[in-house]
Amino acid sequence: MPGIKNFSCCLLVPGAAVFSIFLDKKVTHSTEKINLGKALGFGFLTGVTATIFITLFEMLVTYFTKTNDFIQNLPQSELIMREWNLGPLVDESLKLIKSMSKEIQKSGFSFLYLIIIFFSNFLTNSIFGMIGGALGMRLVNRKAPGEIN
Amino acid sequence: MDSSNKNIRLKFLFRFLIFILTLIWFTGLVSPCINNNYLHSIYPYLKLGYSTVCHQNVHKSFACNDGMFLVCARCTGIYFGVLITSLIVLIPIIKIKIKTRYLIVFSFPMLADVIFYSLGLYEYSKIIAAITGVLFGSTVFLYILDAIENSLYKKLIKGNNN
Repeated sequence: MPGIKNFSCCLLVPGAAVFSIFLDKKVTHSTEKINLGKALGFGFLTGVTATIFITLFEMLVTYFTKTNDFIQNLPQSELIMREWNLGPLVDESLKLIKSMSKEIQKSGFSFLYLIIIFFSNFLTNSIFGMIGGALGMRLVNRKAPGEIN
Repeated sequence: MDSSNKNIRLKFLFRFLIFILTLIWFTGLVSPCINNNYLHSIYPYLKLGYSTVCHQNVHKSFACNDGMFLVCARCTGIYFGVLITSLIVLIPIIKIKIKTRYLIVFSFPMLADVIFYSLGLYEYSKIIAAITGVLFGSTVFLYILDAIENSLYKKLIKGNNN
C-alpha cells in the first residue's frame, strides 16, 4: 500500500471509482448511459469503502508498531512551528497532539486519533471518490466531444 | 429567454462555488507560505488531513517559510491546474472544446515522468512534476466539469419543459 500510495498519490481513490463504473458496466452489460446520480453514488461508495479499509489498515499497523508517519513527523512539525514564533499558540496547539502521540506510543491505540483519521479519510475519500465517479461517467458515456462555454 | 438567463446564472454560480472550494483547498496546502499565526498553529492538523491524499515526501515537496507544502510537487501542480482552470472558466467568453483524446494527451507527460524517474532515467525534479501535474489537473478538471454540467443541464432543460 505505501508503494502504491507513493506512485499514484491522490489518484488512488478517483482511479478506483472510475474502475468501479467500468466494472458495473461490464457486469450489467447495460447499453444505457450512466447518469450523474449513479456515478456520484458509485464514487461515494468507493470512497466509503476506501475509508473503512484505509482506517482499519492504519490502526492495525499503528497497533502493532506503536508508531506511524504522524508520530514520526511530529518533532519536525514542532520544530517548524517554533521557528514561526507563534508564542503560546504552539504549546496550546500541540497539547492535544502530544497526548495522542503518548497514548499511541504506550498502547498502540488512541481513540482521538481513530476519530480524526476516520473523519479526515471519510471527507477526502468521499469527495475524491465522487470526482472519480464523474470522470468515470464521462469516460463510459463518451461519444460526442463536450463543449465548455 | 428568462429560463436561458436563469440557466446561465446557475451555471456561473456552480462554477463560482467550485472555484471557492478549490481556493480553500489550495490555501490549505500552501498554508506555510501564508503569514497567519492561526493558520500556522493548526499546521500539524492540516498535515494530518492532507496526508490522506498524498505521501507528503519532504524530498518531493516545495518549501516555504521553513515549512513544507502539505502535498508533494506533483499534487501541488494538479491542484494549481484545477484552481487556475476553475478561474478561467468563470470568464463567459472563453469556450474550450474537450475530448477524451486531450485527456490522454495531457495525462501522458505526467505518466511518462512517473515511469521515467521510477526507472532511474533521470533524477526526480519538482519542477517537472509540478508542470506535468498542472497539465493533467487542468485537463481532468475540464473533463469532469463538462460531465457534471452536461448532466445538470439536461435535468434543467427537462425541468423547464415540464
